[in-house]
Amino acid sequence: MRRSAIETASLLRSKKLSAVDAVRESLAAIEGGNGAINAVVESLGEPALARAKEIDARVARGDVEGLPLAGVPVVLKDNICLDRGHTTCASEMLRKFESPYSATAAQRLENAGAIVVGKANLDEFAMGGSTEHSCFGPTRNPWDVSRVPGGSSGGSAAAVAAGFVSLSLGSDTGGSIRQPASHCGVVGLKPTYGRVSRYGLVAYASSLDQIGPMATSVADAALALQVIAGQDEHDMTSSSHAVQTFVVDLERPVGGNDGGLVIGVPKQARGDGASGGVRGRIHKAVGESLEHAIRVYQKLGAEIVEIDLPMTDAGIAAYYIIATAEASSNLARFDGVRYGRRATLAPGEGLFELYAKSRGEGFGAEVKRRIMLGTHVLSSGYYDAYYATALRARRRIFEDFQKAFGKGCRAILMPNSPGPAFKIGEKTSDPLALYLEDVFTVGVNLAGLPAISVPTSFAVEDGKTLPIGMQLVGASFDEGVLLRVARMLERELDLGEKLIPMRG
Amino acid sequence: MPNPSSISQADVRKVAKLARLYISDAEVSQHQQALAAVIGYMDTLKSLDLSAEAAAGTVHAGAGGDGFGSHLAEDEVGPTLSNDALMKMAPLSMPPFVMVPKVLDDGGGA
Repeated sequence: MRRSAIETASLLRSKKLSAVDAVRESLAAIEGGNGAINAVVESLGEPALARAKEIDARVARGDVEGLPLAGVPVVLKDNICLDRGHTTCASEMLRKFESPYSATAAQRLENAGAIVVGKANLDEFAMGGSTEHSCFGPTRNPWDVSRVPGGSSGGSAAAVAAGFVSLSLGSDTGGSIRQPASHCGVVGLKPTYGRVSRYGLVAYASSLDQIGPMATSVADAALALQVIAGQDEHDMTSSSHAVQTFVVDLERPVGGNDGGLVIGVPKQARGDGASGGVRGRIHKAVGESLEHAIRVYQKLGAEIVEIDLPMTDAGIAAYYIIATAEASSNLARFDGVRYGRRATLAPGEGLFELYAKSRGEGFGAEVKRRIMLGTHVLSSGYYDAYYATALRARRRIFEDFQKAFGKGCRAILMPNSPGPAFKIGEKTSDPLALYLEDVFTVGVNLAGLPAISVPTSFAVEDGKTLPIGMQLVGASFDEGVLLRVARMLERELDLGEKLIPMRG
Repeated sequence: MPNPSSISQADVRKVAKLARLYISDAEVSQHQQALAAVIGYMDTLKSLDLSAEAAAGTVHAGAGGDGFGSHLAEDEVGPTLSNDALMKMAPLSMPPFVMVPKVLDDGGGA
């Protein structure tokens, strides 16, 4: 049995379930299942139960106003600060770090009644697409423990898929919510850049990072977005754009009176139109899943139009230039002085050695690689060739998406990832191969757009069933329509209990 | 400009030093290969004609101008973390100070 966040909160408010029981259920699920998948890196049982008692007391005296997530257990990706427990970013650098404050998104979830029961594994500092680069060891896919859950929000995705919680928060810089959602059979939403405050999210690439929900249904993701969205005085890039009531309208299909539903499908993602680079990498089951989703939307009356995103392959290059450049700057704060790991110095060693040794010991291989890439593309003599060029490419990518929305598209449909979840260790020796997996997701971050991954079908690999999700991209701050379009697909496919992993 | 795709071990060491990142000899060889492959891929951007495009540092909310873009904070002192909280985070401190190696005389510098 799987209960959605909305159902849990509703049962709580009608006193058919207590928050303490909801939290105990969740903690028991983590206790029983985490050994196999390593999705949760820190369980926060005691504070969660204390918080649950407070929620129950409020419900008992009828004080449920403003608690849409009353008693809903959640986990947070461990790069999202919480004022209890640790915030490690899955890095030796921060293994012992205790944040003195909570991220705005976490605070807003808690204010709405949600209860944080644990912190979720990730690729160190959110850099990766497999949750293999973690100081806590890899997270395993609940559908097949020999495979990755995707990443970097792999722990957040796996925790929802395994039924530890019905809702989690991840962060998405280049696909880190959508791709693991796709690989684990859950819904993952990356909001428009600026929609959700980044205050308290440990920065990887500040112009791309965005916090978003992962859930078992589009409705839960919509509710969670509604709770965490909105301007925040602590994040000057958070938008003043009004937060719609995403949940209320969710069941209303897009089309008809709205002027018809037009969905764009990039030719780069489909059949013979696929560009050389991308085409060879699309797994048969992913291609079929896309065609299936197209037929579903056609059946629902949508018009499918071909759009052109010619920068799809080049976007990977632009992304890895911009993201690593920003990372090299953001991660300069880890100096062994103010917080985080500090190396022991030999006699005669000075400040340079303190920085270099602390960082050398504290960062894993992938983080070091990205810091060095970023340092290289920003260094004297290379800045124009790489960084400045990538910023121009970013503008072109943004314009390509705008063209599609200008032609009347309400959403763009394409895969999240060229294939289903791959084997643990399969791509660790070839970083470029792992980066190329991001072909369908990074452009969306560069353009700042909202996008959602919805489970659509299954592949069978080595006798194991693996979920596949499709990505829908919306126009800036148009999450309301995006969620409704996603809900149309979810409702028609009605995968329900099929999305509970059959681990074996 | 040198061909960036041919990253030498000296290049790796130089970048690591610029990034204040100690890496072992074994790491230098590992990173050399990976960096060369990734930078080689980045070079594909150079074949595109992007001269007509303005650089976009951010495309936040339609690249600003629509009223939803970034805004500036008031230039005034707001609440900050307490000295105690900061000291608690520092790996080595002698409250109210954090400790650093000697930086004058022979104390450091690169």
